[in-house]
Amino acid sequence: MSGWDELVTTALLGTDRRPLSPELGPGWASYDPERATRDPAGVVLDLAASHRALRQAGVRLGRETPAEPGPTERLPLAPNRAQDVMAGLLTKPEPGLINLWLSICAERGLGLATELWPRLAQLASRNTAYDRTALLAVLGPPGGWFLRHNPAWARLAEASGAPAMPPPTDPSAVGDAVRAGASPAQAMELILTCADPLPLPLVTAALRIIAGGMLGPQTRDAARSLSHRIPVDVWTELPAALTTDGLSDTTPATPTPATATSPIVQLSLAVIHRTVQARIEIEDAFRTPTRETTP
Amino acid sequence: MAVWERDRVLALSPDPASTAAARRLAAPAHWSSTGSTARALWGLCQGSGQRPYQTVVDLGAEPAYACTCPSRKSPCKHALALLMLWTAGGVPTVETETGFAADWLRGRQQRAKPPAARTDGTVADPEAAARRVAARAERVSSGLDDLERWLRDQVQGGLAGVERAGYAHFDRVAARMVDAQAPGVASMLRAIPAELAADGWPARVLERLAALHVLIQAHRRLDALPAELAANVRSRVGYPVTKAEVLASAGVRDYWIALGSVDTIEYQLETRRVWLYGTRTGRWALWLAFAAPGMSLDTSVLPGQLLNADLHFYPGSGFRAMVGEQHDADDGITALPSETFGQVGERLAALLASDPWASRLPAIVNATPVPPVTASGTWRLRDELGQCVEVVGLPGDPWVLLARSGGRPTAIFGEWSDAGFRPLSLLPDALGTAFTTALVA
Repeated sequence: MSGWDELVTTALLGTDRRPLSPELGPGWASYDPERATRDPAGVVLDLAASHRALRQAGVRLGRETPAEPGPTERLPLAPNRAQDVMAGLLTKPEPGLINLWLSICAERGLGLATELWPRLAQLASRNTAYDRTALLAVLGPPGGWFLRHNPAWARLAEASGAPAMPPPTDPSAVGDAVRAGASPAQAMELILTCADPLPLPLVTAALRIIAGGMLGPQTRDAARSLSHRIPVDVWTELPAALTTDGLSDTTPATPTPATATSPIVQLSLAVIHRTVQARIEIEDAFRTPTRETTP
Repeated sequence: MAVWERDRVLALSPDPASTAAARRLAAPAHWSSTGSTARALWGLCQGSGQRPYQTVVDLGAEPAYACTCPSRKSPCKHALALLMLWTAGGVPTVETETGFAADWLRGRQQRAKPPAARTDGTVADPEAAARRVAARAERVSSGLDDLERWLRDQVQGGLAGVERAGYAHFDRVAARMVDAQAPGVASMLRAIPAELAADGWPARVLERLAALHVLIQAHRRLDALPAELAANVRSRVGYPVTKAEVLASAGVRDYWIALGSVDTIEYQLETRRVWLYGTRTGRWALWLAFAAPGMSLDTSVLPGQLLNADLHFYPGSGFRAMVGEQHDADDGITALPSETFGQVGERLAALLASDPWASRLPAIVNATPVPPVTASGTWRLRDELGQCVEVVGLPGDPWVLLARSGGRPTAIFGEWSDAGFRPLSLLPDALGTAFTTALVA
């Protein structure tokens, strides 16, 4: 037992039960045995104080060999406003919006502030809905190096392009299907498989299907999917009645139990409205001046 | 008035919810009739009500906020959002304040009253003051004598019972120290129970009791101690020093950079300590702000801020200082000198010689973060000589350190203690990176 362990044990048990050892070992100052008999607690406190001072003043440093550093090249950063928008998105993550941010940032060859890398890596490692290719692009050359340091994120560094998608539906096929008697659900499915950007007539039709409550329980999922597909410039061309939060005067093409005033329809339209507004905000944020400095 | 850095604005936020809400509002679409001068910002923010909220921010030495929204937070999300918008260049500069902004600023000016207390450190009745000082010294001495007996009782009876006894065991004697007008000693006692939760608590508790023991011995010999040590003893015991006395002492003029801050709560009293570094003198300073429950902390000194000011230091070898006269300041933080871990350790050893109760030291290190090998391991920092210390007390995400550094030495400011290094901010470096407190946000 070291001198310090001896002292602590004495204090733990109490000097009434365990007398202080006469010799604490090398490095410890000797003390008056008569005082230790007369005032053992005082001697323990004095010795502990000496130990404390020496320990604090003589902190031992470890040694470490350096690891391989990452690439030095960095991307120019996205504008401050865009970084703020991403920070806000990360507090309530939605893959569609985050992917939009990442794709715009990647298209412009800009980078994400390093303060946000860990949070985004954590999200992307747990949910395949996040665009890992775009994520790698906005982290820039050091991104792969960074991700490989955390076993939970390492596979993100191997992301290799978007998965192959089936060929998109021709927009004219939607009209053909409707004329042939396709149901609103079939029409909506066809609309959502058309390529981007969705033209105004298809967006209008999709919104009318949702507002008319023609999809029943599938309304909300369809609204969520559609909200990420409506081009921002098309949104501003839509009739006001279709773009307000909570539609009021759309006439369903086909009567259904669910109407424009049903909660699921109201909620779904609100989701579309909020998501499109968020997308507008993201695109606006990238129009502000780019940061001068690199991360 | 130079536009503030974004981190300075974010540091003003009372809580993360306010920050998130402010980010959503910090877009031109939410604001109208905005304007800014060297003195203030203002604007109208459309909320959920019929009438937009009128928001004004006084950009003076002690920022102040006014908003017609019902929130009690200060600053509210509207004031924060307006500041964010301003830092992004979204608020136009005009010559003079108008309308509701001008009215509020005028009223604020009229409400400000000159301080009634003396500002030269002198007292009205020296004899009465001397009697009070003597009476206080007697109360403190008596209280510390009681504490010494209590300390000896703990060691005689054994510390084993302390773990079961918990906070109340220390609260009782701490309250006695408050009655004895030794609040510093009370704080030292109240800090002890926190050690009981960790492994190896007997050793740490014994050390803390020993520190109190040394303080009591030193207080008994106060008149025989060197001046600086005596001042440190008085400070640790909790003898008050008035603001007037501090401001009456010679100031140290420098360009002071606020590099990092830590907020703590002890017995409902919120404390903020902000570390400043004098770029010409190389001197460190500590600015403290306090807030009782329901009050907001003073935000006049925040990390990232550069002050061309006279700082007046409290007696002793500590860092605590008050901001005196301020002068025009340049903007921005430039590269600052760093130390190796060995050099910081030596500086702590030197400080302990004059203040044995010191527990932390500010330091700038050029270090590389070393992630743990396992998920439950600890992060370390490696300096340019290959020496390592543990990263401790980091409330934010340590992976930010690695992302920022890219595996290379990066300038980090933080607090050094015998437990390790607590990073508080990342400083600009050769790559032109910006100052950030993202580690603690």
